[in-house]
Amino acid sequence: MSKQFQFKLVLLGESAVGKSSLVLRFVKDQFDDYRESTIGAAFLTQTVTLEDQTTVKFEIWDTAGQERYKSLAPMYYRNANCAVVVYDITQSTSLEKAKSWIRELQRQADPNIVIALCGNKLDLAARRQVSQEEAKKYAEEEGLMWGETSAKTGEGVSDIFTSIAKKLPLTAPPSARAGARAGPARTGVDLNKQAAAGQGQGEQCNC
Amino acid sequence: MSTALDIAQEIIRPTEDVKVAIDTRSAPRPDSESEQETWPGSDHEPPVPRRKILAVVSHVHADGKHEHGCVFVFTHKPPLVHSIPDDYLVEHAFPIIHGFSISMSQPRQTTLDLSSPAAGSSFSLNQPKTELTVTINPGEDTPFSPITLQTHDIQGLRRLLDECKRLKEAFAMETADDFDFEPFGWVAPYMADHALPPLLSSIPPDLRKLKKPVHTRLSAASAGMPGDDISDVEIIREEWMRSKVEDELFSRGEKAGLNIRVGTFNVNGKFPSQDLSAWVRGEASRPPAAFIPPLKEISPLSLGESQKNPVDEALATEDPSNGQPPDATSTDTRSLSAVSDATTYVNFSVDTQSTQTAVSDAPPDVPEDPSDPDMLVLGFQELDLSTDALLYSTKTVREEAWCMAVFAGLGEKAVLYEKLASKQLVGMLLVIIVKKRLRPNFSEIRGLAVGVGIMGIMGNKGATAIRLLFTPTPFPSAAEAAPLGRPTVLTFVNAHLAAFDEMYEKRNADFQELSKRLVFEPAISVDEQAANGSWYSPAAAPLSIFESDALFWLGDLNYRLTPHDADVRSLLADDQLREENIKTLRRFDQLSSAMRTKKAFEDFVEQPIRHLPSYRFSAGVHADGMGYDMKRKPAWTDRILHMASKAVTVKQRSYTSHATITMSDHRPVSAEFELEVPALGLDEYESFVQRVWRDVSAIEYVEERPRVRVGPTNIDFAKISYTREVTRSLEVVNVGKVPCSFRFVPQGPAADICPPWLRINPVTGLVLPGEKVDVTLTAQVDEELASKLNLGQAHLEDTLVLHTALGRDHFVAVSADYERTCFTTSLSWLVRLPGPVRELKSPDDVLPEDRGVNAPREIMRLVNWLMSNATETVGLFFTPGDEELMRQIREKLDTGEEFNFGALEKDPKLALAFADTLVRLLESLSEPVIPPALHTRCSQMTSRDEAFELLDDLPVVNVNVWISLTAFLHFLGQQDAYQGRVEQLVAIFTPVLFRDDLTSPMPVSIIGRRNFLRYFIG
Repeated sequence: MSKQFQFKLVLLGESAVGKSSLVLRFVKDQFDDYRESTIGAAFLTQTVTLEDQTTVKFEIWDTAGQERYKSLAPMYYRNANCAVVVYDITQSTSLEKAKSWIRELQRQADPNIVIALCGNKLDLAARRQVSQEEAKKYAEEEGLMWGETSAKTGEGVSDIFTSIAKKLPLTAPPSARAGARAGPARTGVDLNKQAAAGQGQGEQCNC
Repeated sequence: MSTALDIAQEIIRPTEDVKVAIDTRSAPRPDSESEQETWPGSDHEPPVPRRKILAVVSHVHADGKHEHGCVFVFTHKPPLVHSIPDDYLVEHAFPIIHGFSISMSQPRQTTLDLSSPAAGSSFSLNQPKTELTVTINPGEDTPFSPITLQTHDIQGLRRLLDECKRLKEAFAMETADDFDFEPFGWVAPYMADHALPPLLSSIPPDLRKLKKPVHTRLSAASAGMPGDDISDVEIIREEWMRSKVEDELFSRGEKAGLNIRVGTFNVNGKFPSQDLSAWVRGEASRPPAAFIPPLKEISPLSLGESQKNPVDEALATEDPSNGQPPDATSTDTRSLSAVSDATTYVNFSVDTQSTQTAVSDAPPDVPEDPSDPDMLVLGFQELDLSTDALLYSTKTVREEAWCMAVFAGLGEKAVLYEKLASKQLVGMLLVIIVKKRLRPNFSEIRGLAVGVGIMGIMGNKGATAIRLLFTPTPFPSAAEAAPLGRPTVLTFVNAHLAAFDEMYEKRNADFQELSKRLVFEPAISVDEQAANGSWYSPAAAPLSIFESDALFWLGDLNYRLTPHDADVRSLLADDQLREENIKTLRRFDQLSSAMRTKKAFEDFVEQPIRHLPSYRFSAGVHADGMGYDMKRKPAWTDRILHMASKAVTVKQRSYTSHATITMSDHRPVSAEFELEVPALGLDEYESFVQRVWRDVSAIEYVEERPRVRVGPTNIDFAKISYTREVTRSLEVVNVGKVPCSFRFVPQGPAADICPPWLRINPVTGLVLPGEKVDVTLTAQVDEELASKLNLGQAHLEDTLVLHTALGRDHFVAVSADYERTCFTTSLSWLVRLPGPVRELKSPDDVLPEDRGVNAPREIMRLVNWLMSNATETVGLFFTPGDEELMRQIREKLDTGEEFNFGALEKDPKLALAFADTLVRLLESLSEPVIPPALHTRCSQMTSRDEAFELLDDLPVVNVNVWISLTAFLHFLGQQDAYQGRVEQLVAIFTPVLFRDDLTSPMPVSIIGRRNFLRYFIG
């Protein structure tokens, strides 16, 4: 039987770098050209299957990037096993913002958190302001994973989540590591139960 | 008749599509025609085959890629008495998977069968048409058995088979790896419909639960930590359904009134010897003299002889023991009620016998007044004080004697009434008397008794209770076909709690103990209920007294007053200040304090008492001038409280004691209530609940995520200030396909849901697809908060987190600018203000302590204005001020603006508003003008000089305020309009300038403090 693990992942980064688009591509393989800015935090799940048939289920919190809501971010990255900090390769200021998120995570999040730095909007490479070298060098210095993606084309998106899945410690009992979300995120139908209900009804009809 | 497609579409949710739906009926079984599934039309008509609808339903997964089908069979609902016509249930749901098959078989020859269903059945009319047999085989690896149906709809069946084929092929193309979701998860909600919706229970929810805000009952959650969404959904949904029922069914539907007169009387072991009409009928409806039995000197011996009263006669003939001397040893020694087990169901009787007797004897021409109560609920305590009473039931003699006295008190109206039920435990007796014509409206009457006295179980203290159902439309007898009415559950508790001043905590504990142990045992067994088959049937579960629509709690609760004995007596003796003094004493009442601190009677309602204490009276040398026993501090021991759900409206019309009934050391107390209860049929109620339930029954099972739009996401309340509310509206629109339940959650685990200056209503909610909910956000600053905000930064901002169950968190940014006020601060801080409080930029800008002014300019401004404009106004401080004028005055105090009211200047309303503003400013101070540490000494001053000397110990600012205030009050007292009202001014200002310490078990003398103030203004 293959093993299944569950991890809490949080997305952080400046407003409009494409966090929600990245998640939409990863979870539903879709892309919207015009997305409203996230005012809140969306919860989604997606499962990655590794080569050894181990499955890793990500419980993803996609957070608001606007400065106004910065004080709420810790509520979402607490207990997170991994974080994807996103910047926009066409906006050098967004990398600065990403760095400040990383500093905050290093200071305040779980010390074992796996952090990936992600340069998004690779489809707009022509307007690039952040070089691969610069970002990669920073990531190496800080001991982070790094990659570039395009939520629009899908390039690099699954790679980054798969790499995170591989890097997560898949030895600890999953329940202890998982995010705190309680209750079933999705409830399937138990065919046996359904049968019982159906039969019960049948009896009632014979009255 | 609705078409099959209409019916199927009605049941199927918007997330699914009905592809085809056809009419069918169950196929006769090959072995026996008689076993055909039918339901009886009536006893005289032959059975009609039950209509069944066969439908193919398709569901496209949220990803837009996967389409799955399911074959449903809907059956007409079994015709229970209360069922709704034309309602259908999901009988089968077969997912169209690999092994699934559906086939039609050769038409078999049908003939018009003369013995088959009678005219009126649509099926029989269509009989001559060809009938096809449909067989559905769910597949071998499913737990379902194949079923067979018959239909005439050949065309429809063809389309149905085609659709099944298409869906099966679509399913066959897929492999398990194609989706990571449960492929037929969407079917579950339809099966979940079988679960009984909440609210369809004959047991009302616990009133204590209803009084708690919904969000306090939800799982712990905060931003990023959703808690247990599934269980939260259940609670939010039930609450949503309840408010739907209240708003759309109860409040718009018919109402029925029920007037209840409740009384409590500790009779101190006496037999009735006086007319009780004041207590049982009220003073207003005193019967004509002819009907008043002679005061005093009625012995129970003579009561039985008063042949003129038919009720007496009825009671007399009914009970052979009646007429015996009261001290004759009770004959009933069989039930060792109190000793063996105080909770045994002793002495409970539903009096039906007297009905017949009395009805036949009733003169037909006694008029009924609208003011006559429909129901009398009377609680007695200390019915029997003999030691024997603790050991042996002494029921009959005393109960009959008191019941007779009650009926005698009803005078000529007595013939309208009959005893419905009674319940006794030792000295406690609860009797319910109802109008004879309403007797059929009461049912399922149950009684119970619990002792909490000696050893925690004895019946010298405890309670008896009666629970009953009131149905505005009476339950029909078996022969009648009238629909069943929805009953309202009423429960009455008559309690006698621990005595003595110092036993306050024991009384609270008694209440808690009784709340726990007053549980009615089931009237029928669970098996009987199951056999009954109806959701509405007499409850087979133990029932708490709180599981009622309305609960009345009466009795000798024995709560006392905390002030000194001398204080209480002199406050009561002063009939000039009676009203003011009763108000004062009420603040020191132990029951009020228990309710305030939630130690007992939490969420109960008691109308403010305006009558004199009902305890304890004596005669001769043992009594004070008021008749109160010198050895016991007077107290309001005898009380009547209630609590009710929103389904019932309870209006209290009176609450009083009856001084004319002097036979006991307590005075009887009575209260009149007007109840309004929903008057609707069970079927109407059930069909409403079912309809509401259908929309929300399976939120927790749906795979689609709820989607709501929340806005505006930025809410600025602009300027907010003390006591002025600012409201804004937040819209939660459901833009998804499934119902969405939401709740506001705190940002962090230990935080509050919103900042203290904000109120959210509702905190939880549920929105159906395409609908919206308006959440009202109210910024308000109360006294406590203002005193904090005055000392902090003026700009306030925060973020609210609205969590949608199984969905995302939405943020709403809120901000406001607080305007400082001179209210709710302290005298020492006010004098350090460099100018008007509103001009203070930062709390640090106040003057150093030694450079403050002599007295707060705000208080001086008010006193000066009153001195120069208002001394001729009548009723200053006695008449409340106009709220809007007071707001304007407050505003001018805070901004430093001139008092300029133009034309209003000469209006007495303005002067009254100024006076009231002054009182409120003083009351809002964080510390009273006289610091609490000096209260005791103040109360001990014996002369004017001593009193003035004591002022030296006050801070100089307080002295200045005290002197200018008392000087003004002294001046006011000299005016013609205030002749003889100085005492009233003293009574009003004592709690304002001293502030009562309500937590102290031994408060500083009220009279002493009044004396101190009188030295200055008298």
